Amino acid sequence: MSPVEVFSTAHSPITDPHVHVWGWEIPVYLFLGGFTAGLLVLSGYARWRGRRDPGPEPSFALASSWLSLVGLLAISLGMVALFLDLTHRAYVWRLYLAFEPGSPMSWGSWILVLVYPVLIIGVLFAPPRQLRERFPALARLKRFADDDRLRRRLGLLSIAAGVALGVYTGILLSSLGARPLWSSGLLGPLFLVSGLSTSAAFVHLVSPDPEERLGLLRLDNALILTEVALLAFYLIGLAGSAEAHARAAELLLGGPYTAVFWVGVVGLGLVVPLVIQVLVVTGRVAHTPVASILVLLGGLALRFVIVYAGQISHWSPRL
Amino acid sequence: MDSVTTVAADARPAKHAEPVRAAQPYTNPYVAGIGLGLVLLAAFVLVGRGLGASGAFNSTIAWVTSKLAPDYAHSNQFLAGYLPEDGHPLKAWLVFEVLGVAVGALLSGLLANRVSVTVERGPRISVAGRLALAFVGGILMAFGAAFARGCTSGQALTGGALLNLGSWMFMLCVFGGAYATAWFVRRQWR
Repeated sequence: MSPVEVFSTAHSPITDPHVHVWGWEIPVYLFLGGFTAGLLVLSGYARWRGRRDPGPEPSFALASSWLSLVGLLAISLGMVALFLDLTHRAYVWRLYLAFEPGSPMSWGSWILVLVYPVLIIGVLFAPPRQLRERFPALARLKRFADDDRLRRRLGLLSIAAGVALGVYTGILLSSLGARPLWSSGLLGPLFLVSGLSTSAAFVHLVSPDPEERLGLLRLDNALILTEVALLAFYLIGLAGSAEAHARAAELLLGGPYTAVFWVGVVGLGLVVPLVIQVLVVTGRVAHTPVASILVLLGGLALRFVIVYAGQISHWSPRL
Repeated sequence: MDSVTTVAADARPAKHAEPVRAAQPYTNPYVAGIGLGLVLLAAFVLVGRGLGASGAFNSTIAWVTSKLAPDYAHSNQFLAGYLPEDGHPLKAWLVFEVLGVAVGALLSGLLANRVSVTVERGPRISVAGRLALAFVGGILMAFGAAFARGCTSGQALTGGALLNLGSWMFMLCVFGGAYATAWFVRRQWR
């Protein structure tokens, strides 16, 4: 990742230029990071409550190893996207030579060091058949999975790693003070809730357990409502703040990103799936994968809009 | 995975079983027609534009072409008309309207329990044959819409509501052409 932060006390478009350096890689990374964070929190909670994979073979239920594998795959794809964005790829290892408490990127790097082992342990607790056949020694790990106390501790660790990862994806942006659209403490909770919502939608899509699916549907409805409220507070906060913040909010409230934000993120990504899922929960329509897919696409669209619009938000009075 | 899924699902109590309801019949076409007219009126009042469909596909094709072959897209008079100098080609009223149509159709289908993955066809025609005929029909429709500068929704519905003479001629030709062509493919639906 190579963010270009421009710190300037001048208010001239020449000395305080418009910098657009982040392409598709960063929104994709933030989305996959938030999605993995959500999976960690949800599966961690299930493990902490003592739940186990219901099938004789690993399934895609909440406390399953397959879901940890999905998380591992998602965060790894996100890391690939992040790596593609880096300017000095050969020096990425230097992030792990120091810990800078004031740097969100340093926090993020070390949080990822925690996330990977938690996900790998989640996979190894009940390894998929293909892995067991290839590596018979893995079958011995089952006794660890049968230890309730150990499983509950893994659950707590998973929740902690998930919350840290989810909040970090938002704080990464909000710490870059050069862009007023990102200058809000609500981005962390917003991205965490969005990550939880997308992961709940995904597990609802793939879980074999009808009771679990219904519970996730109800949870996702609550998460979507929370996300709508956070988005409202975020925009109200910006619009009522200093002039630069108000103009940044205008990018989504009448400016060039208005249509894609209100139609893509709010309409298709939040309101429509919420309506469908409420109808499903109340028994008026049958289960459909469409709502889950819309939630996932809406989560991705949110990152694209916030990252792209944020880069053209500016402190200068006029561009 | 399928066997696992079945075992896990069956092992659970039936109290959360998903409801199985019969598909509801389609709405009375006269009632739906009045509804469509009110939607058209609402579109004029709320956004100052009528309804359409083919324009959304033109915008999409122009945008995709501009990504793959930008020089060609901008030199082609038809495609260039859908590529604004400032702003995204997909930021067009008809694109958002068609998205709304898809969402409305989905909600309607879900409420009537008619959503499924299927190819609607008559008893005499195979799936491949039905898709091939639909593809040919789609190509003819695309040419027709380009020649007539609008499709059934843009010309007949919106233009007709505005009492445009050309749009009324278009509508009469559409009905005439449809009846004449239907004779050749009528057996596919019987």
